Amino acid sequence: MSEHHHQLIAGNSHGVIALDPAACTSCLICVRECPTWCIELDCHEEPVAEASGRRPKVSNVLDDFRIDFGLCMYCGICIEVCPFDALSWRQQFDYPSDQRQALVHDVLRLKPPADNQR
Amino acid sequence: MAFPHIWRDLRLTASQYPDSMTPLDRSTGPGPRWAGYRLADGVGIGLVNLELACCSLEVASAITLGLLVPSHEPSPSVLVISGTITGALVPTVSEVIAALPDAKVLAFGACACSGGPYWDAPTVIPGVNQLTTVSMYVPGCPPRPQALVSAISELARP
Amino acid sequence: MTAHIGRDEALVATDQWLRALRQFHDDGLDMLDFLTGVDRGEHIEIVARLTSSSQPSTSCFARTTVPVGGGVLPCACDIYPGAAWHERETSEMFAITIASGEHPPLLLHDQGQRGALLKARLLQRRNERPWPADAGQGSNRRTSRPLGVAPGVTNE
Repeated sequence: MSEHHHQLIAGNSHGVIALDPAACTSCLICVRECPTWCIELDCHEEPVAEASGRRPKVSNVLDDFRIDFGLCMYCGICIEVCPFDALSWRQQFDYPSDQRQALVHDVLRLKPPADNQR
Repeated sequence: MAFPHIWRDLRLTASQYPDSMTPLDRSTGPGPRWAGYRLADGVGIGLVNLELACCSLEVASAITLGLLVPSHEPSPSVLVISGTITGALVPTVSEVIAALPDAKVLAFGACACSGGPYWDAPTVIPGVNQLTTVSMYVPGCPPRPQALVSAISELARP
Repeated sequence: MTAHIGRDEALVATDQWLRALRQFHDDGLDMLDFLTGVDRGEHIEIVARLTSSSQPSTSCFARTTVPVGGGVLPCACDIYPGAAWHERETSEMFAITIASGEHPPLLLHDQGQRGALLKARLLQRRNERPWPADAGQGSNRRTSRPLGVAPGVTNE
């Protein structure tokens, strides 16, 4: 999309969604709350070593996170409910594809923009 | 605007629509022409837009913004499907697709890509790819008009 | 059920439905805004919003109830001719019979879809697709279910 065309888009438009994986705790709240079921999250449990010797604990580790933008209705509920602010809007509106599956963005594609990017 | 009559009476099936109510304009010659659009940037790509639901308003927006211009097209190269495909409209949608065998189909918006928010409805077809081969998927609910123009340019690239 | 006539609402038995609508109409509420159903589980509530063409800010609700399955609602078209389409949609969405006049399906042309808005009618595609949140269930998760889906229950 040309810069000129991008300028025509209002700054509060709901563009693509970004995920900061460092902030994600795999709590699954966004997955549960998405009305269209377009979010999938892969995680596994890892034991947490506790020096004090209390009962064993596990924590959830994020393996992959996918949003199917072919289904997404850009309601923003996932962004609102995330307790850790891991999800956010990006000012990107141009990601068509000739493949239906390529509309599913994984954690690499959902990386938040660098400071000099939208 | 193509197919304004669809909303008048949902009981009509495609075979009951009179010829004069299709976007195929038989009154001008020579040969049938389609009431369609071209990209305004002079690249010369003709398209027809099948206006099924709210995504069609973004296409109308593209005209207001000067990104598309109305034009009669003898052989459009892109058929844009804008909106939800319900079971009741399958005969009509299929008829338009069959009438444009050389056009590439572009699914505009979540409903055309997958059924969108209505993917679970028994009355909704979950994506125009259930009816035909789709050459380009444009996600969004709705996508911005600029995204349509960008995707059409991409699609028409040789 | 006894009739309850308040300033803004009337809840009446079905055999009083037309009488209540006629009373609202004669009181100046000459326009039907909508007529629809609400599945309350043990019965279907029919609600009609009536308004006045000369005073559009005035409105009242007329309500009645019909049983789930086999319910019959009198036709209001003699009072509000515009009720026809609303009754057709309510009839097909909640599997209610309208007592008189032609009320063919408006939107659901497949007989198998009749009663589509009844709560007992589950969304097949949601039942068939695994809920994405199920994939993450682990030893430390509290279990939860998605709204409106009962895996293992079918429409048959």
